[in-house]
Amino acid sequence: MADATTTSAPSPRSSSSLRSWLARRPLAKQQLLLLLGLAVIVGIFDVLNPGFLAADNISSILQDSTETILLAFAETLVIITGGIDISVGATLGLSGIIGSLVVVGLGQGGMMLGAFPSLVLGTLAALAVGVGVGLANGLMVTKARVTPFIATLAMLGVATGLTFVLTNGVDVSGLAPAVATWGNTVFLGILTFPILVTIILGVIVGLFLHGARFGRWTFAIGSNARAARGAGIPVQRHLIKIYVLAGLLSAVAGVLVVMRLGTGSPLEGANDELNAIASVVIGGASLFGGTGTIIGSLLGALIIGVIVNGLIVAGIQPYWQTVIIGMIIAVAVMMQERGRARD
Amino acid sequence: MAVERLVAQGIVKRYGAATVLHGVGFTLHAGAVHGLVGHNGAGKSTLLKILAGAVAPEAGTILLDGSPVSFVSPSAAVAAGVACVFQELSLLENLTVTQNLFLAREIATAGVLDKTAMRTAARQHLSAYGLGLSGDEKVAGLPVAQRQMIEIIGALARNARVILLDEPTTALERAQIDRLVETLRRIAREQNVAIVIVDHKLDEIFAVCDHVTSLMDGRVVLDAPIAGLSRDALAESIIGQQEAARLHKQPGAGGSVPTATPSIARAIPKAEPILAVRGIGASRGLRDVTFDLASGEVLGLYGLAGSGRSRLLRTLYGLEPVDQGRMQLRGRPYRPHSPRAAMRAGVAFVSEERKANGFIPDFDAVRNCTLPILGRHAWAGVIRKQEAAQEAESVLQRLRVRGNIHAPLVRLSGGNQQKTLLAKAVLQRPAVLLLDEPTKGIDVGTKAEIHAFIRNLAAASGVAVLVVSTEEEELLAICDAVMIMQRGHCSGQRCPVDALDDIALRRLALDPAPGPASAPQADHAREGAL
Repeated sequence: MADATTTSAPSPRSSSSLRSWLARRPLAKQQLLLLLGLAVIVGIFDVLNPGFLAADNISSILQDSTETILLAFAETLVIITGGIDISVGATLGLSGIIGSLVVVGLGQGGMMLGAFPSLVLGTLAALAVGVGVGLANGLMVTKARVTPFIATLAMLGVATGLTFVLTNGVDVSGLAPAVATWGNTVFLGILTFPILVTIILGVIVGLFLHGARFGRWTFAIGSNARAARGAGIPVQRHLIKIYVLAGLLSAVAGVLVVMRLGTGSPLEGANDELNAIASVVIGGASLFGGTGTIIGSLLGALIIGVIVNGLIVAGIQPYWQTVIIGMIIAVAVMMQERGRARD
Repeated sequence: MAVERLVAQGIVKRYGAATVLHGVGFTLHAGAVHGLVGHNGAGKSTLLKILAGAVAPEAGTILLDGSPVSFVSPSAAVAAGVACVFQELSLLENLTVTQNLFLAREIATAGVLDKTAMRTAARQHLSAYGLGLSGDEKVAGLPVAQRQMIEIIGALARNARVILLDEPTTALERAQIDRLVETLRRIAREQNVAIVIVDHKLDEIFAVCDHVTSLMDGRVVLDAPIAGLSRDALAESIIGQQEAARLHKQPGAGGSVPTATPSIARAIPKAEPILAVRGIGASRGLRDVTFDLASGEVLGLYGLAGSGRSRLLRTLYGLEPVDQGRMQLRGRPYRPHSPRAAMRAGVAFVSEERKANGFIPDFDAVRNCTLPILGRHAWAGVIRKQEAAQEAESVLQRLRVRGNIHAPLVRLSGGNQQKTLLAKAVLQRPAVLLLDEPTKGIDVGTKAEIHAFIRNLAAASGVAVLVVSTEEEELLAICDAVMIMQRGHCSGQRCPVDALDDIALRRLALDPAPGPASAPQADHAREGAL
């Protein structure tokens, strides 16, 4: 990742220097280990279930993981600042529902344009919900000095409640069939629209975080907020932006879920924050702030996605998923702590 | 004579190569208040920490009521009857007064708290020392003076035989100080405890103490009953005339720090002030601070601990609020509400607390340096890393930062960290540079490099530099003139360093009336300009 390669030292020319190159780049080493772990897990499932690595199953794993990946991106931003956002799943749910309601409420629109205008408005409404939720979180954390955990816990309650108030707990149906078609059509072998959006957002957020002033400030605040303020960084304003961005990414995930399913379900997003936080932690970020990468969080989310999919394909009782994910989190964090102790 | 409560003998303490206490001994009597005085860095705080069990001495014995003791921890000292009230008070803010008084020794039957008994006992203690509190108040809402009293009462309730107070009056106002002095005397007499008080203010020492011990560079230079001791003799022991005279006779000691371009740059500039401060004040800390700072000059700010030196710099950098007064920077009103605002106006600051709020530990030297100036090296928010790094590296090289500038800064030595922070400030191209203890905890060689750099910066780039330092040598080496700060006040009187030595500086800091050696220049003529 950009963070690991900015030093002006020459890049490795021979494999013999790979070890020392990695020693100087703990982040690259970490990501290589994650990649290795992912490969091992994929390998195990491929042995257990022949056909696991078929293009359609890879596409299905990626498609199902887009939600976790986007929420993990959102969570990465917040966790790097030393905060936490446990409302990302609820934001996903609320924005998806409001987007669906707007689309259904506006109906099919004019004959000429078809469903297109209402879909655009619905998407904008969903994104606006994400921005609003993020802004509220950011203001609570900065201006009202509520700790991030409590502020976003409150938001988790409010957003989840509103989702059920608006739907009475019933799915929002009546969306144009085109929605699900767009959301699930596979092109270029494994890509779908949600996967493409996730890739593009990953690249943008990654550049933002590792190549731009925005990211530099984010890491600085998470590493030492007092020194960051002393260096002239508008800490509060920046934190508000971070939470807004997290809300926005969650809302994008909400729109993509609706596209995937073809209906707005009030149950979507529930407990998703756990997988998002798990992805970020597996990806090497510290909950104390100051560290984390987009690539790491992506790999963390993929590991979770592969495990979930693999267990289903292998026909194992689904309740084992959380048990295994929980154990992986524990192992990942213990390995990090050992690495940190060696430092 | 009262019984000898605590006898310390031959206490030695070293930090690395530096010996802070060279075999200090003194005796505390029951029922008496004992003053411990000495200048910045004389070793008072270390001695207090040793008595309180927070620091272990390399050598020496402590006898408490005749039996030798060796405290492995502060709690061991408390259990033995030695309680310490440090500058940072240690009460738990979210508990009530009663809960604090009975912390870890709650009255309980079979694990169930007897709240009534504790409340009654607490109320007795509180009223006995004139605190009009019921005991049910949360500590968080109480003023410092009352918290301090509660700590002292808590120590007495734990059967303390020795109570150590570290500068108990710094945060108090006049009337509160009088009340504290009176109460301390009463407690010593009635409870028959020995009280040790570290204090910088001579009138308070004379008001409260029975006996005084004065430390100078880790040695006892005066140990006498207060009766019959003259104010001058005590002041002299702190300022260290004889001691300093003895040191100056040794070749190579003192004044050996090299400086750049001494004669020309030392003249006080006649230029218009770039920063004009008029009567600024802030609650609990600053009152009526007035001074001018001109381009190209290095102005020192000297004062005792708690005099508000650092607070003033932090206020000028927008880290603390201003309640009264006016400031002008380059002729325009200046009132920064954040470091960002101060930076944009052209003010840079290097903090005394390097680790706490100076740098980003995970960032390397280059990234730390460029953090405030990314705007110059970014297009639409995207950083041009090479370009930013080149500018930072050129300044880091000029400051001769050694060690890997691409490793996390927390891994570099203190001297290199400090140079990096200086580079970070310089990269902002400030008009005014505020330095708080610029060479704290740094070796002599690096110190000299930093001094030369600061002098050169002022002379060559015309930066106006305001330096706070507790080291007289440092101020004399790098400053054109020095101002004195006392109890949050600074009049703006400048003493040119040519007319000063370390003794004169200490004398000025201790005594508001300027001594004959100082020849301060009043600088109030410009006041009408605002």
